[in-house]
Amino acid sequence: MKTKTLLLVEDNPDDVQLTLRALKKNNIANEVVIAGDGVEALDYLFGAGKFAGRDTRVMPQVILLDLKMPRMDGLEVLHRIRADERTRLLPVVVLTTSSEDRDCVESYKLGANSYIRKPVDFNQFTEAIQQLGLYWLVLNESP
Amino acid sequence: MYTDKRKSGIPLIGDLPLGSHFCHFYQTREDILDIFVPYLKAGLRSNELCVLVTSRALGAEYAEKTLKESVPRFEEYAKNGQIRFLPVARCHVKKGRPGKMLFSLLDTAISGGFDCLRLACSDCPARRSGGAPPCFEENTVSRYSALAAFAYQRNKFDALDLIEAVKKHRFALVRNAGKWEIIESSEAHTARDTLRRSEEKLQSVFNNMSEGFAYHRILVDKKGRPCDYVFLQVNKAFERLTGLAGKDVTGGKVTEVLPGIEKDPADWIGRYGKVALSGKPAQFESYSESLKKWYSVSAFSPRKGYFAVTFSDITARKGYEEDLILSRQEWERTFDSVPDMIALIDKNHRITKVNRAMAEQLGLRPEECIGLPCYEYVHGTDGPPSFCPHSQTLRDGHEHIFDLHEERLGGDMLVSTTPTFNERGEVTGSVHVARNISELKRAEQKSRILSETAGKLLSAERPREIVDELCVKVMSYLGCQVFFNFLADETSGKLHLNAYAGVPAEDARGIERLDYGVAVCGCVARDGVPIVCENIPGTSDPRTELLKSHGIKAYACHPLLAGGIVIGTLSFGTKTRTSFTDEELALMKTVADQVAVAMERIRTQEALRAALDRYRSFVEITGQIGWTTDANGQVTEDLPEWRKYTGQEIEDIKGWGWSKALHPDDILHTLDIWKKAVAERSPYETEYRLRRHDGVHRHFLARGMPVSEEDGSIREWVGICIDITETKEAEATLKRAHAELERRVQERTAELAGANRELEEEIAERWRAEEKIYRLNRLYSVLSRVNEAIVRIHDPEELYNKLCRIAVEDGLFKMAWIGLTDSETRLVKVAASYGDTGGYLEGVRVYAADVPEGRGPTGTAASKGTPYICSDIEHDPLMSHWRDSALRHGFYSSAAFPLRIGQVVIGAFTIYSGKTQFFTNEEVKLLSSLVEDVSFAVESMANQKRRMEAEEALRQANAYNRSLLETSLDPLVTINASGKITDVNAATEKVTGCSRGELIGTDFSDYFLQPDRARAGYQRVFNEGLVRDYPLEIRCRDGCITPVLYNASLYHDETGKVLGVFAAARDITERRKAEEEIKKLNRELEQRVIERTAELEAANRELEAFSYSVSHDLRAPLRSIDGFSQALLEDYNDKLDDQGKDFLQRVRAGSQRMAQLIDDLLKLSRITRSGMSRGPVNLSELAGRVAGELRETQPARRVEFIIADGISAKGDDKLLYLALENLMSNAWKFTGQNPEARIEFGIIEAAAISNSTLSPPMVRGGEGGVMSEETGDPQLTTRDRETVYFVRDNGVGFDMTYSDKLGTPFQRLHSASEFPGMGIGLATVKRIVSRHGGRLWMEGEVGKGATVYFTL
Repeated sequence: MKTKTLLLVEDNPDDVQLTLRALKKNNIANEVVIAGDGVEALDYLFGAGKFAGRDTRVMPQVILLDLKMPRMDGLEVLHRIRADERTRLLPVVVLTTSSEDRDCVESYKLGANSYIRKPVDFNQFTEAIQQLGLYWLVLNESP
Repeated sequence: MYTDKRKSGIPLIGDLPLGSHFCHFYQTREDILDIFVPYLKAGLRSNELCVLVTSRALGAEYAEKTLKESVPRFEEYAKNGQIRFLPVARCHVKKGRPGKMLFSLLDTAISGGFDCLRLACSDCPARRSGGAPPCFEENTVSRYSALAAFAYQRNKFDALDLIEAVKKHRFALVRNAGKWEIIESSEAHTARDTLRRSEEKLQSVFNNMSEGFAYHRILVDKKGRPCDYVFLQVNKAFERLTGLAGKDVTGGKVTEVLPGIEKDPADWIGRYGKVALSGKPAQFESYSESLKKWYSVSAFSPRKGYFAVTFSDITARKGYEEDLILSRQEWERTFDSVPDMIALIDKNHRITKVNRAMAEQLGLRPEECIGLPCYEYVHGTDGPPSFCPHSQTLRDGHEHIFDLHEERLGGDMLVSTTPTFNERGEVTGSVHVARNISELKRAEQKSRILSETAGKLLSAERPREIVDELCVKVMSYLGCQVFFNFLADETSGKLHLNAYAGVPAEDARGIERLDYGVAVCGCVARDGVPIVCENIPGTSDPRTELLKSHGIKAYACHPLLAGGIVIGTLSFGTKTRTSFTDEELALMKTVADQVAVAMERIRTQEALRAALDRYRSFVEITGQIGWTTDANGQVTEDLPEWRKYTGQEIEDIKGWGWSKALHPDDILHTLDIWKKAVAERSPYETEYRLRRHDGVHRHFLARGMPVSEEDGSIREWVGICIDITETKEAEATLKRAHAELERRVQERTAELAGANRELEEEIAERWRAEEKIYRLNRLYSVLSRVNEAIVRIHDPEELYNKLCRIAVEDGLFKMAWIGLTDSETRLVKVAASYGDTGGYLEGVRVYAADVPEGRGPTGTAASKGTPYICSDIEHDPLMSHWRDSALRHGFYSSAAFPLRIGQVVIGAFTIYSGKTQFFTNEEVKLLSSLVEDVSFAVESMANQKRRMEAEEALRQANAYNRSLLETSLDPLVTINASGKITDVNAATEKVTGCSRGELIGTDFSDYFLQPDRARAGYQRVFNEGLVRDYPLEIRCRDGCITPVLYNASLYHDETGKVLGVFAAARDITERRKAEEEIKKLNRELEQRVIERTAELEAANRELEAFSYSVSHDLRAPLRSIDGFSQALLEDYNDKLDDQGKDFLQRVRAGSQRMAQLIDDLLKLSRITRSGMSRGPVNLSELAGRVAGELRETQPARRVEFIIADGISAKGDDKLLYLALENLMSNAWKFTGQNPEARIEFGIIEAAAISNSTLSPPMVRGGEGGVMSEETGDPQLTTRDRETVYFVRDNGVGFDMTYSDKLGTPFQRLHSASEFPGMGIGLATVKRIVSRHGGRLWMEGEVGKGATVYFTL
């Protein structure tokens, strides 16, 4: 059985902390790789930069992608992922603060598998992470 | 106006128009020469006859010497006689003939071939000095082709004399300080100015007049005969009419312009020369060979040697006249084609005109007949015969009709003569019409023969008699020489010749007996059908051999038929012709039938006679049966004859026994009569049937008489019985024959009656024909008189009167009138009438238009231009307006004909007759052509009148109009069709900076910044009749631009012909400035709007970026606050006391509430920012959906939704859904405590409400909903009304005091703990409503519920 990795792309350390906490609270023990921005996320996926030499045959089970990030934003990352043969089929869940319709629409246009808005209430956030993890890490069969 | 400018030779003066005269004041002889030398020099050079009047001041010798020195080739001029010196003494003439010398000089100038005369008078005594008048009266010069300069000694004039002298001349020259100056009296100046203006005006009129105008100078040869002429001036019409360009001909000689004109038969030069030299005006119409056109020309001479010509092209009219001639010829042909013989005969019985039929009858050509005495050629007599109807007409002036037989005219004639009259009403002759009525006569004769003979036939006694008498007559009528009548002879079985004529007796004996089937008559008798043999000499037929031998060429034989049996034949033969006409054959048959009837009658009578003869002999042979009885009538003695006849025994006859021999049916009857006779002793007579001894009954007549004794008593009765069987039968036969005869007589009579009817019809036809002849005669007479009138009369009104008068007097119409259409009212007004003795026209109104009063004859002719014939006024429905009056006046039919000028119908000529069906096609044709002649004549008169009027207008330039135009501040211009300026006023001069003289004749468009636009402008006027406020910019000579608006229209002459455009400009400089200002302000405003829009767009973009960042960045920290507070609570739970935990809970609640606020704010701003798509929205359906969703949130609640059906609006469906959702969820929320909650959505129609956004005054709450107080006002239109939507609940309501706070974001009227919410719902709705252009307001009361109203 392959190890089911989860790639969390998030520039805000608070959010990283809270996300990890929510995952933990929901007993999701999969390996979580954290990328601080879009560039790092792509480095990881394609084995470049500080992830040079990584075995790129191993791809994350799901990518949690923030949109508003320095250097390269989430929509650009999504575009690159869907443009590359290796990562074209990876499930990407957009996890963002934005409730703007255009972000949501743009994300789905670029091939996001899901779009989740981070609630302010931590309890609700935990609930959302639980459902997300349950679906993408447990129930969903990757191609 | 007809300026012929001459060079003065003096620079100070320049050119001088002919007729100019000026003077100068000298002090020294050199002063005179200073002026006269250059003056005369110029004259000599310009081919003028120069005459210097010498005096003591300037002697001839000195003058000649000076001129010789100054003028090159002076000797040559002197030799040609071009310069003459005339002592002043010769110029003084006797009173009354002041111009003699001048005229003599003018004649010399012209005959010498000089252009004009130039006079220089070195001394003229001042008029005030009282001397003899000078020959060259200053004013007379101006009327002739001359120039005159006078020299006056200055020191002889005081100031007053000087002024007086100056006044008499156009100007004067005075030398001041060695320099010549022109002085001019103010009157002269004004006069000249006026003259100039009127000249200009006239010039424009000239160029616009429709007739050609040209001004010329005549040239004469050595013998003083006109040989050429020079064009001096022509107008535009001249160019148009001749096709010659003015610039090409002006100054040129006509022999050069139109080579060969001197050979033109019209002799233009000669004619014009006569005008120019004699001064007598001339008018004529001529054809120009050079120009191939007909012209109507009017020439006059304004001054000797010069002539002006006005002319118009009448080629088209000439063509029309030719047409007229053609139509005359056509009429002539009609005249010639009339089969009746027509001759016009004058008072001396001379023929003046005949038609072809008449000429042919006389064996002459029509023109050969003219002048022949009619009686000689028509009747072959030396003088008019006694019956001559023409003589009678000449005597009494009436029509006469006469029947006569004249072989020269071809037999029997019906002749009518209708008088013709001259202007004075005297009889000048007659129209003599003869119609051959031989045929009619023959028909009459035939009928007479038939009816005469019918009577004789029926009374004739012998067959021979019948035939002889009848056939001789018939034979002569038919032109036959032979007849045969055969009768069937039963005994011999042959035909025997009963009667004949035309063959010798010995020949007749040869055919006394004829076998059936032999010869023509035998065949007819055998077959019972007629035989007609024609062209016997040329036909081989054994049956006609006998006839041929007698020289018979045509032969017709008819059977005599009686009851279908051939009883004989009747035949006629002619030696002169080879055939018979149908009519002749029909007559033969009729005669044969009549003869047959007569023969049959005679045969029957003969049969009867034979029967009686037989009876007689029978009686003789058989004897009578005699009988005797006693006094009582009883047979007492033997009656041997009776017994022998009846076979009775003697015993049987005794007493009444004899009666037993009678026919049983006759016994009682006979005995009754017998007994009665015996009783009365009266003679006895009866008939009965008696049985013969052999049993046969025969008819007997029994007669008896009593034989009296001497005492008077009856002794016995004696009687006789006679066998009358034969007689009886004969009688019966006779009766039958009579009945048959009667029947056939009746048949014959009916046939004759038929023939008579035909004859009567023929006679009636003859009378109709005669009447037609009379009427046509009258019309010919009318036509001839009207044509005379047309030639003689030159005034339309007089012609109209004459036409009416002739129609009534000569045409014998009851009344005639001419109506002219008033062009405005279309009323046809009476212009002339005659014969209206009853005042019919006073009560009549006719219009030349399609109204009931315009559909009668006159109205139709005057409006449609076609003749209208009303043949029966009494029954013509279109006459209903005039019927009663017309019938009262005895008018039963009428005809109206259109009168025209050119193509325009100007009225109608209407005539009335006292008979219905009066107008025949022929007459209408003649009358139409008559009225056309009159129309044409009137048109010619109108043309003539127009020409005179144009000349009059020329003479009268209208000073009033001129001054009016001049005072106008607006620039006014007239333009001709080619865009040239023809006249301007002072304002135009000012605005263009050009003088009138410069402007006139130049292109109108030259004076504008945009010439093309200017051209398009006046062309539009020519096309459309006018332009209004047409903007143009006038360019002044000094460079100034004047913006103007042009109003221009066409102007016409009185005939409606377009002369040009009258254009008035209005200076709009000021207005233009104001407009520019407004435009500038508008541009600025526009710019500011653009800038403002850009600013707003930038602000919007910023706002958008702001909200975007808010949604991200403002929420992120909140999530941290909440998340880590929760983490604290969870991870450090044991280290926190209750208060610490409570604080952390409050931190979390605060951050969550803030997040909610941020979300709501974003939502609100999104409503404002989001795009809108308007479309039809079903609000009822949206409200239903919202209701459903609300119910799902709290299924346990009992809430009644009342949603009105079919509410729709135009707007954005998403936003409107959001609005309804907010409003209804508010209602849901605020009815939460009401156990019987009710939420309504509906509409009300209300009057439009301005301004007020909240609490509109005219809306009130109520049981049935909210109503507008003005709903019932019927004057409200849909536009004034609007739909108000509402959402109403019966919840907690609110205090109206705070209603103005509602709709502000985050404004709440209830505490959040009471009713949760952010206070954003209503604000959202308000924004949505206002984005739709609507308003929102509320009503409510605490505890009673609330209603939110909104419009879209």
